[in-house]
Amino acid sequence: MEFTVKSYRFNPEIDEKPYYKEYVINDFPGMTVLNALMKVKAEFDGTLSFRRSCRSAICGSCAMKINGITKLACKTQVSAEIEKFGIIKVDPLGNMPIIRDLIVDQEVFFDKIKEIKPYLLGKTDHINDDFKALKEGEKIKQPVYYKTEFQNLTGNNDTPNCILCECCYSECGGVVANSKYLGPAALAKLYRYSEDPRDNDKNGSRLVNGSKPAGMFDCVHCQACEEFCPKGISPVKVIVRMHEKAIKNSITFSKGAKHIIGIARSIQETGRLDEIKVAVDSVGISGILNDLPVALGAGLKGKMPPLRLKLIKDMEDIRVAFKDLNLEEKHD
Amino acid sequence: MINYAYYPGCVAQESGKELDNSTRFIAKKLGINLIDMPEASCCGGGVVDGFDHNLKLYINGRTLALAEKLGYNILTVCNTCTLTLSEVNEELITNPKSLEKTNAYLSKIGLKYSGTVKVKHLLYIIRDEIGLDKLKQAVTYTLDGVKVAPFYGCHILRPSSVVKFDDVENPSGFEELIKTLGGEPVPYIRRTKCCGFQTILVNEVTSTSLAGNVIYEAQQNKADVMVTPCPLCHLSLDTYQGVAAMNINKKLSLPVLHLPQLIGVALGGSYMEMGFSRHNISFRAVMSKIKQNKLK
Amino acid sequence: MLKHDVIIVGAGLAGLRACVELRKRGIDAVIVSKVYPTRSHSGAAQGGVNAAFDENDSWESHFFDTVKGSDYIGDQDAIEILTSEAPGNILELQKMGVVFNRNDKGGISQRPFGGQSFPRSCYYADAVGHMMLHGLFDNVLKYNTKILYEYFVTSLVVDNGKIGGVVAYDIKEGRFHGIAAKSVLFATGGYGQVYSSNTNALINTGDGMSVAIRADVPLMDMEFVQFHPTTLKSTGILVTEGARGEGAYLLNSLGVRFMSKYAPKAMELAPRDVVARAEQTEINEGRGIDGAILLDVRHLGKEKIMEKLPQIMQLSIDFEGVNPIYEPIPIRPGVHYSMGGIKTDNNGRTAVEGFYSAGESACVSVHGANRLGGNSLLDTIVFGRRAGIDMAEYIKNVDFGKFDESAVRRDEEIFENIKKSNGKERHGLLKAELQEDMRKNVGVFREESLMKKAIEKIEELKERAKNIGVDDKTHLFNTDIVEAFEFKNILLIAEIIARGAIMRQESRGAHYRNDFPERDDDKWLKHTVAKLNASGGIDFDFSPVKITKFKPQPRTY
Repeated sequence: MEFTVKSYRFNPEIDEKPYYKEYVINDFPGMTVLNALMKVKAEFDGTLSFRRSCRSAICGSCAMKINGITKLACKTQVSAEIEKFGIIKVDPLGNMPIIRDLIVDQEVFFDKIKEIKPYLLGKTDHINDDFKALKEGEKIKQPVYYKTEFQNLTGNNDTPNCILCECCYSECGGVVANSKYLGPAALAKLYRYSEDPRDNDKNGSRLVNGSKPAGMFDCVHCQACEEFCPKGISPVKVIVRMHEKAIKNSITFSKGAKHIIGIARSIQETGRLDEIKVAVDSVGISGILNDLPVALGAGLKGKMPPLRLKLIKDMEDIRVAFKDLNLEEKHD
Repeated sequence: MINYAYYPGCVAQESGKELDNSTRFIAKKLGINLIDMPEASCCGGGVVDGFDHNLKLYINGRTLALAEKLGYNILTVCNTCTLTLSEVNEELITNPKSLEKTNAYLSKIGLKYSGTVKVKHLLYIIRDEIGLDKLKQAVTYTLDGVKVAPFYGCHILRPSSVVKFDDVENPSGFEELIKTLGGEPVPYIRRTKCCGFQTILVNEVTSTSLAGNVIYEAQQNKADVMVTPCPLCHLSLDTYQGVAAMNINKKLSLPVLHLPQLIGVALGGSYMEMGFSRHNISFRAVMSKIKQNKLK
Repeated sequence: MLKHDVIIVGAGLAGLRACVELRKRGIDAVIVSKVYPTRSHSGAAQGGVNAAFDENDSWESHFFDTVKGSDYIGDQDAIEILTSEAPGNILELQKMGVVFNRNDKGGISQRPFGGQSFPRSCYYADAVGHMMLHGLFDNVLKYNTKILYEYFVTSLVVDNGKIGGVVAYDIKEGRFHGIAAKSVLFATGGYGQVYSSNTNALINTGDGMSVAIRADVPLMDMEFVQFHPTTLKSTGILVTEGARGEGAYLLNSLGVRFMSKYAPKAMELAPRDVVARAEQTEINEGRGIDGAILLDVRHLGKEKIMEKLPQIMQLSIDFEGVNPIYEPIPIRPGVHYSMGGIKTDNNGRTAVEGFYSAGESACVSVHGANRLGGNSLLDTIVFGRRAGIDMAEYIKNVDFGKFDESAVRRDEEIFENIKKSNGKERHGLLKAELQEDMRKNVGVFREESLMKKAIEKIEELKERAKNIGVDDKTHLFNTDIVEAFEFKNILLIAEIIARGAIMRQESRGAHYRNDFPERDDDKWLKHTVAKLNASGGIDFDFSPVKITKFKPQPRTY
């Protein structure tokens, strides 16, 4: 089959502005988008630039936008793309500055990984630890950790499987909104270490730091990170688990945590989402005043939500749920 | 008549009342019988999970059990309600432990869930159950000459392991529906991106910039109107459009409709019936254009 | 010019492990890598890392298995270090944050591996290399290490037998830098790209070995090239030996578990050289299926496959279109690992003072003529750690060596000349020709007549390589020029492999000669040592094998 690869091209050293270049090539059975790009580069145009290494979806080098969606070129079949889109259109990753062609500057992404302290906290770095070479007949005694202690870190789709390929980061709505947002991969890494039984995080600093602005409460829940993760990991799900963990550990200084508690409290009291109450709980009265133009605008249009909500029918059922789960005392 | 347990969600019953009204309007015209569930609670959106995962299971398990008791599948008109109910449904069906503890709670309030209910958004109920042919027959005013930018948003598409209505990479349900109504779907990249609503109270500037980008792109692509299947997206896109314009420093003025409003107009609904006066950005100009497209 | 006490070239497991030792001692060590560290190919290792933990196992048993696996040409003093330090090293990694699957007693879960007499491969599902790589990299971040990534090392600077530093090309900026150092470690990995149908990353072009031998540092045992028995038919992507460790069968076209013929006791868990040859024999004798045989895991059941082998399940689906839960996976032998490499002692020291190597780029030698599965990750951490500690000691008492900056200009000129050339040869196409020829003529089964053809091809390609031109004349992230240079590296390695293989007139481990089918301890129980001569040709010498405990015996499984 003959098909077209249409690639974003831009080399600031010689090009005034970005453009697309098309290459018509033939496929072979099982050809991946990476194979196609390599064929173009080897046979027709050595100037086409992209990163690649393992070609088996484990190194994370070749993430790029393929027909608008961020994927690993190495595990994307040409035939499936052609069937759906009729072309292989490739663009560099989103949310990152472009260096050249399909190559982006990843420095900020890696800085964010570093920022979450991706290692066990506490004293683990003695130079003369108890390492030893065994003598004849000698055995070593292992420290004991049970399966359950690592239960959130040893599943197929658990966070340690992250390959830092940046697919999630490229698609993340939170990063589009706020370039300082840590993003899904760094937060997944934060979760990975916060769930590690060996982590000596006595004062809960991970969740405290993670709750700061541009941290885990800036997640917009757009689900793109889960959808487009080539390793089946769901950063958004673990971000939500960290929300729960933070709130249960009374780390509630953030607007985001207050927002969540406000919604839960509203449901507990009325069975409904009380829009005004949630707004007051989340941002406080001063926040609401800042929003006054919007609120008034909406109000004038008759859109203002009712000030006192009717309770849902059988409201008692909901109270039973809160009581059952021992969630009541949080709402004094 | 097809019966559905109707789950409008909170916003459609509060600030977005026009969504509820227009849904009821088109349901009648399309032969959908909406059975109200006055006992149903808020789904808790994307955030109740971050408060307590079991609470999410319990309150939504309860809603699913209510529908099961009625014997109907659930019709939703909100992306986030669709996802939240679907997620809980999926978990209860696939995870026996979760079902067991949820049923332990439900038994205390005289309910039980056995996993038979399906949750489906109005958009895909019309496409799959009613049929676009039937919709076409019901049209009295075509959207001929109207450029409509469909805004899918997130939770009606993603994660596709849970909400399996459309092709997540290249959805088409919305476009097909717009074409059925005689309108011209506007292609633009951000139709499947995030509207930012979830963080609107956490970080308004960054959140509204997302909605702003969406509207700006649709405007650049010559859209006359944007339509969304989600009242939360609608809040971001319409109510906050002025704020978004300020935050991204662009001129924005695009009317944004709820999905059943767009359908309702084509089915002969009036400006008042559709509740357009409750929107920030006026739909009047486009409306009068459509009113000239009356079919014999 | 940049200046650091220590330069670590290559950021896979061996490099990162050495780096942690240096950085935790507060030493100014910089990482120089042609890719970002987590892109290194160590991350693709799947199945396990060996260490004797079980009370019924012993490191001495691991020691013997490894000596036997090496076909008695591994150095036994080094293998003793490898195996006796294995458990301690694994526990150190665990302390640093690496996660292993757990057994019911709360210890590290272990699975059987080929050629091992006890289940002693520690694992994290089937992604243990990934887990170790990221775990170690996280520690390197912890010590706030300077990382010059996407820097491509083109030369070693040596003066009078002492290291001065390296010349490196900053790929992003397109600029050469001299980096002076008291000590340099090459942990640059292997050369799988010398062959077509290999399991290796595209970056595995034998750069470190080529740069070292050009600086007069000898390479050892380069003719021993490991063919992994189970690589996906269409792409050569690795399918872990852990699959067989978990109980997978190898079937020929008749549906027969043919290993009963070749290794009646060990069956599928014979060492890689034995299994690869058995497969190739079945294929050659017409009992293959379209040039492949089958790896069958179906009887393990969906649950076990999803729990223990999730990555290979996904790879089979994505790259071969086969779901191993329901269908056997078509596989064939593919080039996987380099037993040979830069000749080092047990602390990673080489012939040049202050210059070290560890991991796949090095040859200590612990793998001899055939590496056992699960021993390569072990090699990287044991000898990476030892090299790091030794370098830390070494730099205490030495000054910076002399760094002749003309070396930087020389490499600059090489690149500029390639760019200026109007040559019509495309390095991408030459590489493909070389790879295919090496596969055909210096493969699983070797014989002089075929290998001589390979040499002819190599000589032809050396001539044609003079006419390589590149399309990309710019500086910014010019991958065209980098690939052109990488081609020169793999061409040199190919020649060393082929000439060494012709010379070794016996069959030992992975090196099998149809024309000399027996092992010949009288003549060939010795290491091959390769050096470049003044005219660019390759000279061979030999060095003795260290035999301490186990006398060579016939090797059957």
